[in-house]
Amino acid sequence: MERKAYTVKDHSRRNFLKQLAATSAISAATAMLPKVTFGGVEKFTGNDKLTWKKSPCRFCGVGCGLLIGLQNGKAVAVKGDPDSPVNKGLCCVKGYHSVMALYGKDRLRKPLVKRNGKWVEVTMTEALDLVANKMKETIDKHGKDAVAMYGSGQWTIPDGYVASKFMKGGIGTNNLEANARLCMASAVTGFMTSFGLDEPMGCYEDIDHADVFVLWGNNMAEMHPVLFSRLLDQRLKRKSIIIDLGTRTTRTSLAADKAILFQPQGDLALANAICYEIINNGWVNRSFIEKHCVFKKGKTNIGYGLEDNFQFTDEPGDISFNDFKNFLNDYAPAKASALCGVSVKDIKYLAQLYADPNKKVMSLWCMGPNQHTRGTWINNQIYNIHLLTGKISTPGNSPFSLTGQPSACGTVREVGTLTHLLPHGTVTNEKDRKLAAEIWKVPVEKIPAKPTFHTVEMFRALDRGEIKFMWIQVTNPMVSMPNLKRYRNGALKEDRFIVVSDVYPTPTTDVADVILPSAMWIEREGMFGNSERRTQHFEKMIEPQGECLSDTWQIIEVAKRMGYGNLFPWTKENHIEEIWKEYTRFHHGPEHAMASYQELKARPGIQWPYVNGKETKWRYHAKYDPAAKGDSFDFYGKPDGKAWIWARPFEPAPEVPDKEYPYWLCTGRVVEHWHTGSMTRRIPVLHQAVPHAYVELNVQDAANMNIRTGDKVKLVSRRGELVLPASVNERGQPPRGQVFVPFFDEGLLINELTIDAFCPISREPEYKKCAVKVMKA
Amino acid sequence: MTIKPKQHILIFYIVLLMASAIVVLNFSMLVEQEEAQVDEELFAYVEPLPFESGVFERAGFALSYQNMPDDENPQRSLDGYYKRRAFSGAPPIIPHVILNENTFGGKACLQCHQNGGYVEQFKAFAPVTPHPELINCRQCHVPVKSSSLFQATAFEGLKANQIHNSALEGSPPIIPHTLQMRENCLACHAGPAAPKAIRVTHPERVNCRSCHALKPLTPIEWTRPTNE
Amino acid sequence: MPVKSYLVFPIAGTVAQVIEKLQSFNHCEVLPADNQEVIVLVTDSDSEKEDEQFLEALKGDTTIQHISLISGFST
Repeated sequence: MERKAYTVKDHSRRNFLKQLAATSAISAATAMLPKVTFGGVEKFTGNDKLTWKKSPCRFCGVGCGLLIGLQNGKAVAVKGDPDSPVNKGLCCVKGYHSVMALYGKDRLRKPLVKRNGKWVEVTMTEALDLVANKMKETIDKHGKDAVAMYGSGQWTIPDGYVASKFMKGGIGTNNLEANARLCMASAVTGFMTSFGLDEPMGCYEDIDHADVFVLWGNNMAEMHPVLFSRLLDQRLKRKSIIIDLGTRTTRTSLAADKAILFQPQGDLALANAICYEIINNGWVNRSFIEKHCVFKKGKTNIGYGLEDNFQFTDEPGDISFNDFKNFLNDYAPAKASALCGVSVKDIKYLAQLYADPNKKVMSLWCMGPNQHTRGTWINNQIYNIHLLTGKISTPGNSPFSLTGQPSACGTVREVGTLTHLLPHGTVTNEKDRKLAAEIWKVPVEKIPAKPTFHTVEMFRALDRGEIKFMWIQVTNPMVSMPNLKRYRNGALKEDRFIVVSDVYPTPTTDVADVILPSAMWIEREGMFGNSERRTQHFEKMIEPQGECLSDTWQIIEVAKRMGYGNLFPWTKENHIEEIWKEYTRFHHGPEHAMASYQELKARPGIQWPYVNGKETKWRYHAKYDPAAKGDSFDFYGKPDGKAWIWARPFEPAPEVPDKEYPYWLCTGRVVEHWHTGSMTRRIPVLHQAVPHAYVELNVQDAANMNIRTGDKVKLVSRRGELVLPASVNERGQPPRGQVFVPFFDEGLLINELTIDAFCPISREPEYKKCAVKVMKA
Repeated sequence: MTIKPKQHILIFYIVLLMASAIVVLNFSMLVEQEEAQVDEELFAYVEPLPFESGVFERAGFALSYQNMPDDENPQRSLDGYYKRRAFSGAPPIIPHVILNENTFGGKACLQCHQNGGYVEQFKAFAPVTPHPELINCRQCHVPVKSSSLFQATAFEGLKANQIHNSALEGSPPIIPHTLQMRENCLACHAGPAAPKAIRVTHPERVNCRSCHALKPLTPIEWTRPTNE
Repeated sequence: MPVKSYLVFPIAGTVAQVIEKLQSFNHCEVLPADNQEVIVLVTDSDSEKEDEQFLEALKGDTTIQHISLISGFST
């Protein structure tokens, strides 16, 4: 048979000819002028100088390993790192295009100062002088608790560490918070109250062992797509099953083997009903709970934090197994079904799955249970199910709390950049304060023993005028705060001074008095810590643009100007390594030991506890965890080595739909955009895929109001209103009486409608439930 | 100064000139290497060999590919192929409307993109995915709903490598791209949806990598030890 | 659709001017030397006619001392 021969008339052939033409001209020039050199020659010679360097992804908390293609001093490509145990070479659309977020044309490159209502470019030295002077002046006039710093789960570990040392050890105020309060606080208090130590016992490798995956209010196909693909892979290979529990039908529901809808807030009743079934069918792992668990109850009717200066302290009380069993009588399937809207049959099915002795079960959740006015409770309740069945701390048996930011765990939770935390332990604990004072070489009296404001209260204090100066780094609260109008107006009040360190103009830089341009991600060196206790280092790969400076070095420069230079005796060249050395002194010992700087540099992430060159994949079991005593489980976070099973009741949401505001409003994300969109919207591929926010309506509701996709819809809550295009029968489908809006769009600020109620224990706000009116606009 | 070049002679001349250029470039590169720090070298990324799985995934279709009529229309161009990617190696966007939002992987995209074929609605042959086992397609591939930008970008992506790269006249060209997630050569290089410029002339020889070498991997510096 | 490369030698002191001018033309790539007053010019014209017009424009330029054609392809 005759072979086909194709002639090629395409772009790449012309490029090739141009390369040839250019190369021959250069050769000719070299022959005539022997010492001549041509700098821009890479333009013609293709990709031969491409190098690849490893970094964790800039976006979510999964912490995928990326390989970043570098050419001519710029990041030009991304591929998944096959050596990374997290993603094994696969990324999501954000990860693949992540480096494009470095090159938006409106990158902030010069410091800006607002003078007479206008932005004026100044040098970095001038800007830092101004920030330091203003901070000093505010402290002199109003006291040290009048200045505050608000950071982020996108802070690298060194950023958070110097922020904590500067605020708590230098200035001596606990006015330090981070946006992880808005996403992870309930996960933290859930871990603390159930186990006494933060962060998951298991890891992503559980996915490779589990037979059943139960997703609690978690649209993993969009929010943690790389991990979800690992779930799908296991289903393909081992016939694992995926159960989606949610309040609306999402891409995850479509992929799941079974999708079960529950009423908003119904998760509290559903989890208790599962426990009821497990106990009343005799499926409890008796020997496990006798040896390793105790039962507790806490306060009830705990409030919603809607009023300023709201205070709450839980009081754990001992109860017996029988007390717990009796408590659950209110959640017998028939009763619970009325509260959560899940059929008795499905409740029984779920209980059977969890209890089946031949099945390993992994529960996964993220913002659904966390951004919840009873967030701590629902976290406790999921642990209850795993504890009653003894399905915990062993491969494949894993209640697993996912995170949304690249270093919510690594920085905010481990370094402790929250008002009550220190790099090890809490400010209320004298031993922890002494350790911090010793390592920081400051007098222990310097570190205040009383926490001040959590995030919502911090912005309320700014509004009230107790806080006069706030420095915001790597986050965008003027898009992400609930009940946004109040906090924006507060920030704009006279005699408030706001400093914002960021990489692009945002609604938050709009309220600033000084904008400091930050070096972003691989423009500086740093570390992130992901959801599975994995610390990942990235080196500086490209030069920062303009006068951009890393957040770490911005803080150090201001600290030096305020007289705290002795706390930061490092050079620009060695400071990351020195910070890491100093920081890891807080975490020595088998419970939290971390890898050395050199090891982190060489490997695509290392999990702590890292003891004798070995990562700990499962905590609290002597077989896997060097800190666990005995020969099996040891929940050493609690003094008696036992995990706590909590009796937590159902309590309603703070704002329930009524006649006037008949719809539930839920907010969240889409796969293309990350957080407030300040980075992903500057990536053309992502912006063009989802160019604006929209409101998802139920098909029947939309038909009743004569609303079709694209029609303008007006949403009104007690706090604000917003007109945005409708999305009917598209990506996500809420049940009747519910609507959903993604929050990434700074042009359509849904958080002007959300409620600033929070979980009284974790102080994490509710973004998933409030009441709205819906009408065709 | 108007010249009508005779290509053969010219190319010979250019090859000579290129040789001298290579010497010059090589020298300047050596000078640069002297400045490299030992530390950096220690942690330099070593590119792994690609997976072997999936290599023969579509080998069963080889004979049909060989007997395929050479349709001129519709035909995808290499330019169009590159334009759908933000940089060489990026996941391509979805250029068509999504037929059904409320379905997933195997029930949606893979209906056309697992085995390809002509789609009347789009008047085009559906390209075949090289990784049909990954079914959360829109984790990486997203549609285009708007032609405008939120803000302009200065990003310049990695350009595709030269595809005409045979070491010798007539020798098999080397594989110019990484194989990660594209181990299955015939998915993109055979069939009616493959752009002609990269369509293989001999799809029945399914063991592609027996003749086509991998793109040069990042070399590790090594010097033969001397006896002294 | 010819692809050609030239070496352009500007009159002393006018390099910047010449680079700017060359860059203003469509379908050409300009690569100035780092340390000598010489510029590599690669043209990628859409047609023979465009190519000729372009050459005429260069010839008429008083800041260019000398141009030499190095290679050319007609595609």
